[in-house]
Amino acid sequence: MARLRNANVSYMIPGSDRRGVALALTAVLALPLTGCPGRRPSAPPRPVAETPRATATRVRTPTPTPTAVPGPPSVEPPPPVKSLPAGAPAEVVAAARITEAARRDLAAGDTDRALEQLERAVQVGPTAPFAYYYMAEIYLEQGRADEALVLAQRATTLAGGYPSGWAGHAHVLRARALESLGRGEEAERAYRAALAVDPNNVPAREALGDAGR
Amino acid sequence: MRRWIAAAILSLGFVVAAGALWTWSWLDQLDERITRTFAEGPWELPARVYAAPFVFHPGLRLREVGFFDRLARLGYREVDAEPARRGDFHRKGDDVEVFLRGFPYPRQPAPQRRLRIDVADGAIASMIDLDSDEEVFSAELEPELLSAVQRAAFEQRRVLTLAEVPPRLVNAILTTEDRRFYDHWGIDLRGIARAVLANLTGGRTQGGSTITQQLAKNMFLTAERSWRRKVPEAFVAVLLEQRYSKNQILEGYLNEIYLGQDGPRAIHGVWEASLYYFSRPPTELSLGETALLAGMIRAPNTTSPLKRPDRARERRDTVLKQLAEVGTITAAELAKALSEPIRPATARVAAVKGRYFVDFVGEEAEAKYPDEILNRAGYDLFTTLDSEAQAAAEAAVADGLRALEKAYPNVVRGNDRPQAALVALRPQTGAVVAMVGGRSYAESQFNRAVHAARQPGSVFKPIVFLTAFELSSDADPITPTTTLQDTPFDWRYEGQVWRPRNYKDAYLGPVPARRALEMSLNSATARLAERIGLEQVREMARAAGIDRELPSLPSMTLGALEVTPLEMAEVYATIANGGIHVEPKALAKVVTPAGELIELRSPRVSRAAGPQAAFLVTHLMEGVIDAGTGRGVREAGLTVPAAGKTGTTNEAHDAWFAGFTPELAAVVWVGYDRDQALGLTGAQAALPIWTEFMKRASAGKPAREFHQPPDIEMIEIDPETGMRATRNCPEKIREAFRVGQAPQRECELHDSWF
Repeated sequence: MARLRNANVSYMIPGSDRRGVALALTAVLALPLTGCPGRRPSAPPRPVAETPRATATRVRTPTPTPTAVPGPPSVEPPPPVKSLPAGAPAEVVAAARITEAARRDLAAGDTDRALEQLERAVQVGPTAPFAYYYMAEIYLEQGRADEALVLAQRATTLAGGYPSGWAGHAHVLRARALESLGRGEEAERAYRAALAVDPNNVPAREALGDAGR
Repeated sequence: MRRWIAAAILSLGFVVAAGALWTWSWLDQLDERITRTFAEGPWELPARVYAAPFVFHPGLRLREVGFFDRLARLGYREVDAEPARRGDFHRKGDDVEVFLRGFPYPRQPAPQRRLRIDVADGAIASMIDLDSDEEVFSAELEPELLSAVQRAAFEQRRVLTLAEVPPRLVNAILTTEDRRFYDHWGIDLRGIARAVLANLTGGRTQGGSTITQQLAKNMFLTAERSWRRKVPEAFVAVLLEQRYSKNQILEGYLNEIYLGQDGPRAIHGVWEASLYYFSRPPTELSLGETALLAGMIRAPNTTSPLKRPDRARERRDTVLKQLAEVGTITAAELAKALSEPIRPATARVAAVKGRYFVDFVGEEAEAKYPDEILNRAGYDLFTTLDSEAQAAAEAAVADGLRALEKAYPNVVRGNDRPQAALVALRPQTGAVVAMVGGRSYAESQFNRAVHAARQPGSVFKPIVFLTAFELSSDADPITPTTTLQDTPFDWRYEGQVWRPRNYKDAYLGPVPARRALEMSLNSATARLAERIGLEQVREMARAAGIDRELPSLPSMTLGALEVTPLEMAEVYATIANGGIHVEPKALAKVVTPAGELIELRSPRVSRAAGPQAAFLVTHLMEGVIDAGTGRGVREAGLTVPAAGKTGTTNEAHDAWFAGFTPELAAVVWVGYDRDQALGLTGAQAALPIWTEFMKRASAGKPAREFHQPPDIEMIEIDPETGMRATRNCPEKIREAFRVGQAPQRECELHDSWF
């Protein structure tokens, strides 16, 4: 009858591979910005001709305007909090902060905790793309490619209005999910979509290689 | 003579042996009884089931999101100075300072923290951690314990482990009740001798009863009077000591000891008493309160701070002095505690019950684990329930049915009274945030929200439109302005002929798709379904959340099938979530008695439709509420952006309303358990309940428009012709189209003005 609780408890989820995600993340972080020796951006980045087509806005609150200025070569999406446009709604700011916390959990190898935080971020700010993106990344790492695809797609839908790096990387994630589902042609189209919104997206350029020109 | 003696001795031996045997078996029985009672003891409760923690952040309106109600249910106490103790809060004008308790989640406990919440115009403007002086962007209240699993009589009861009881309280109780507890073996002969001596010499009477004896009395002897007559408590106490460790006995005592009456309800255990008398858990009691609680064990009702503050003070002071005497507290602590006022407890607020929901959680848990964890003590089940949404749902169903029976007295037919079910989901995560499975759990535990499969009628129709918009192509576009013929027709399908009929046989002729859904026109909707194909509609229904065998009949497209409210809620959540279906979940995580996390469920997602199709059908359903069969929603005062649909089945057996805001999808069903007509429409019976629920459940959150996905454009249309409006058109509406599918021609009807 005595149920003296053990204070030092272990935290076990069968089947989850948080180390994999952490490694992947660390690898991405460790990639030097000037990586890919021998491949200088041969074709000059095309200017962003297409901004997201959401022209007429129904949203009563101030909507962030798309940033059309291409940034430096980007290997990963910009930090959520730094991606917030001026006047972003309070719940979107809160969601971005929670997503940052989730990224720290992920970097520390705690996938479960990260997922819990990401779900909370989605609940707090359902229109912010950040949490869907990282959730998709974890799912992809866990072998849930079809679900990752759905969430990455969602992130691309919501990325309009944030720095173009977000849309670009969401397309790349979509492409990676499609690749792991064996849908190569669609994956290539997704990489092209990434370059269309963000010509400086490094993973898309690498994936497309010469075909990228 | 000798033989006689031998016979006598033999018989005597026989009698003695029989007596010994009888005593032995009696003892054995008693021992078994004690073991069983102790193991399943009256303080042993099933698993603890928690609602979701409430997450708050800037932008939320404090009062409207139920922040103070939540604090009250969690037993937070309002103080008139800066909060110094966990569980205190203080209102400084509009601002709030709160000392959050935190929560001991396994491995990642939520820390206690002092927070200042700056409020401007009723909404959180910013939050500051008062200890680190840093800005905080989101914080959480600890999860509320749902009372549903607990026996009605022990609503506030909670089993504490010894480690959870503050040592100061344990010391105070040992000092007043049983100083030699760790030295005696159940009964304290020295104590008894002292008591007898005191009685004989006319001195002050002292209790000779040990903690073990008191526990024995509480556990076995008061409950069953026959046992009390037969068994001396001292005997049980000795047996208890043989069986259990001192700490186990003490733990049982702390959970079991009688501590007074709350009307007809007996208060047992230090947890319940601490909440009842002081509105805070034992860990948050001041020294004075701790001493009083310990002192009250002798005569709880006559020393109650609620009934007899004067006697309470006297008793507290006595105990405090004893504590100082034995050296447990210092002279300074004594002086400070003696000067504490006897504060009355703040009004207690009943916990949210969520009985049907808890059953649902149990089913979910049972499906996953071999043994039923819900009824096993020691498990912590963390659920997705939002306590405020659940309170709103329970009130909306109860008030709605009461109002219904008042407005339409003929719905009460002898013992048959209308039933109702409500279920609400978060579209993005699948979290079940509220669930009501019937009008009264006490009368019927059948959970209609999950298990009652009924015809959905017109609440099914949005699936037809979702399918149509999903299949729409530039070559063969289907848009909100596409003309549908609302006239009687025959739908021939695999040798069957089906002729849909409109409500009251009224047909509107050619109508835009928007109007067909807003006015819930059967014929026009069936024509649309015929155009896109029955198989496509069935596939979409399955993908959106109706995961069951669907009839292969054209009438299915108008809702001639059976679905549960939960399935219907999944469908609407899918539309609200941009076409992504998320598997509903009620259980977020499970923690074992050893503190191990054994279950944590991330959302399971799948694609049903694209975001554009989902947006278009949402846009039409906004029209249902703003200008269609669901106008009552606006009339009843829901002002936030919302989309919905009414449903009434043939002969009005079932009345439905289903709908959503960007953050919450909910379905309400009203009807009878037995197959009979309600005689009311969805707008009459279900809509008011839905609206009341949504008003309260979405209150205080920023009201956002539905997110418009890329590749959607808004174009001004002349509603009469469905063409692009010109400046001559007397009326214009903004309509949503997929890019490339909007009408190209301008309205010519209002062109030649002269």
